[in-house]
Amino acid sequence: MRQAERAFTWTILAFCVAYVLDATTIDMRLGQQVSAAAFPLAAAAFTAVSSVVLLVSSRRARDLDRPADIGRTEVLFTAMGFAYWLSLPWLGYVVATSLFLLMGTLSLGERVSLRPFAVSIGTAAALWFVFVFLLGVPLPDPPLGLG
Amino acid sequence: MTGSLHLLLQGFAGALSLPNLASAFAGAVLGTVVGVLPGIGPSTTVALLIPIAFKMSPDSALIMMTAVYCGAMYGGSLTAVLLKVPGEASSVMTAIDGHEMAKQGRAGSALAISAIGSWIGGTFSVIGLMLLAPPLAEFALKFGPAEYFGVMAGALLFSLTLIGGSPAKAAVSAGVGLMLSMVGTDLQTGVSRFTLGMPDLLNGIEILALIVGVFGVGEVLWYFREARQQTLERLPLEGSLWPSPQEFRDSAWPIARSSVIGFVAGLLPGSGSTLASITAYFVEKRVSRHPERFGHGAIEGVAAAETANNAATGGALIPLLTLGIPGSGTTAVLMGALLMFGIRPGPLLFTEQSDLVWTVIASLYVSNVMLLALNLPLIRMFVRILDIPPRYLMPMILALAAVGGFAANNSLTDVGLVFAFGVLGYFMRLTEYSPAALVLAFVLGERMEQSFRQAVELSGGDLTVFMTSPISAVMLSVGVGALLWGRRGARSPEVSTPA
Repeated sequence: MRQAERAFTWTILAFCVAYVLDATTIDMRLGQQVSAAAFPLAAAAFTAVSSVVLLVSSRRARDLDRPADIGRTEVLFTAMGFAYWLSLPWLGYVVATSLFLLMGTLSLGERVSLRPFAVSIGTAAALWFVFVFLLGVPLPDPPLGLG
Repeated sequence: MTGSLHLLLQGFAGALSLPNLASAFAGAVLGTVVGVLPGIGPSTTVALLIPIAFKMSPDSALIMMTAVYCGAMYGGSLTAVLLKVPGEASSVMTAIDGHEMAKQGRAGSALAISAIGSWIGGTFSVIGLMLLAPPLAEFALKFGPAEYFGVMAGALLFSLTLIGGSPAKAAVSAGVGLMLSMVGTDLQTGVSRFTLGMPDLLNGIEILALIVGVFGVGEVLWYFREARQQTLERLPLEGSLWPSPQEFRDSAWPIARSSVIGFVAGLLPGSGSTLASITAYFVEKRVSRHPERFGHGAIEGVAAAETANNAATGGALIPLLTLGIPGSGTTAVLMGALLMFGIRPGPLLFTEQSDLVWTVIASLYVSNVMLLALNLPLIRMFVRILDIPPRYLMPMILALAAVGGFAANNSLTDVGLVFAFGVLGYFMRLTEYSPAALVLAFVLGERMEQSFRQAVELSGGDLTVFMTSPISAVMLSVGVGALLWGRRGARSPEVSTPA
């Protein structure tokens, strides 16, 4: 088992503990035979036991030194994704999406030229048209309604 | 039988109406177009395209989603043949011989036979679905909560052994899926659970945010990692787009056998189309007079794998439609779509919404014919999609995933969840945990809890009710037995890819 796998399994185990702690705050008297906390506790126990089995059995196995190598692109796009999410209410859908697409395209190696600008704005506008006009889904507008 | 035929004819009347035909056409084209994108599998394709169907009527939306499913299965074969990049595990076997055929200048034949095999396998499985689903749904009407819980829990445990990779890891993934499905207000007591004080989570985690995140965003992030490690070289689409008479003769029996194998394998929970294509491929290799040709461009290999993975689609729809149990990641995504449109799959679907079910079954025939008619003449156009640079495509897919997450509830929290689940999906792939098991358990979680609680309440708190009901006892025993047996098998050094 690689270190990354072990770390991920430990993270899941920690999630189970936090989940169980939260489940104990649920009023156990509610519900008749089975309280609202029973099934979540059973699910957490199942997950925790499976995780422990994995961790214990992996101690016997030879450690593999294959690196997990999380790349710069994945980290960058995750950060850009969250920045995009946070910017949506401030910039509105079209502006935020255009910027996200432009930054994404440029960070993947496209040269700065008119083309990535045109494609980004065109795609954002097309998605806006499909969802707002054709499907009737209201997309976020900026505070001044300039989206 | 006569009743089924009558209902099927009514279904055709619905499926051939203009809006439903347009939905099937749009679904087939969109499914193929998105399915063609390298590294984007059918689960992701269906997940990404769910929001497009939001404003449609339930029958049109369902027809579109099933057509997307079938189209995405075919689209994956293009990348398997020309790039040797299987969109998902079920296309791995297609890539082996299909890419070799492309190297020999026979890409056209490989893609044509995969379109024809997909059509025959798909049509065969719809016939099987039509014959088997109604009696199974009628039988399932006798189920009580204990039987339902037993069937769902047993099928989930069984699927963990077949879903790929380590069963223990699949169990952990499924456990996390179950835990996430409990977030929100408990319907029985009205108490809120695990919402972290966030009002947006009172209705639970939006299913679309989870599936679009885990499959859509997670797969794009994973693509970046894969692209860093391998250089993709697209082979040209050379040769005739119509197989030679000899190639037709060589493919005929593999297509016939693989239709049956694929359909039966599709019925098994967790196996989906992956087990179908692998089994069909190795059966053909075993019965072939020239097994040495397999792996070096044998058209039988392509025909077997593609026929079987499409035949599995109809098989996988049987437990989904009759019992409400998705058998694979893609059918779990489809079930998520059904729930979002207010359709609860299960035996009652066949009695309460028989018009809808039979329209969808009829539309599967129509979609299969449409796919064949579209794919053969339009192969060259679909192949051109591969020329669009990924530096443009990948950010676009992420933007589509974000808007899809938002569109379900018009909630910005869901957009954040899409990216958070995307990171989870990426780490699951990185550490060889199964994203499909997580989604499968998430989709089943709420109903499993309801059935469990109802069964225990009805039995006056007696937990042995799950063992005294024969159906529940058998299903739970099969599930636990399969998981234990699978764990033993997983200790062997062979490594398989998690779905």
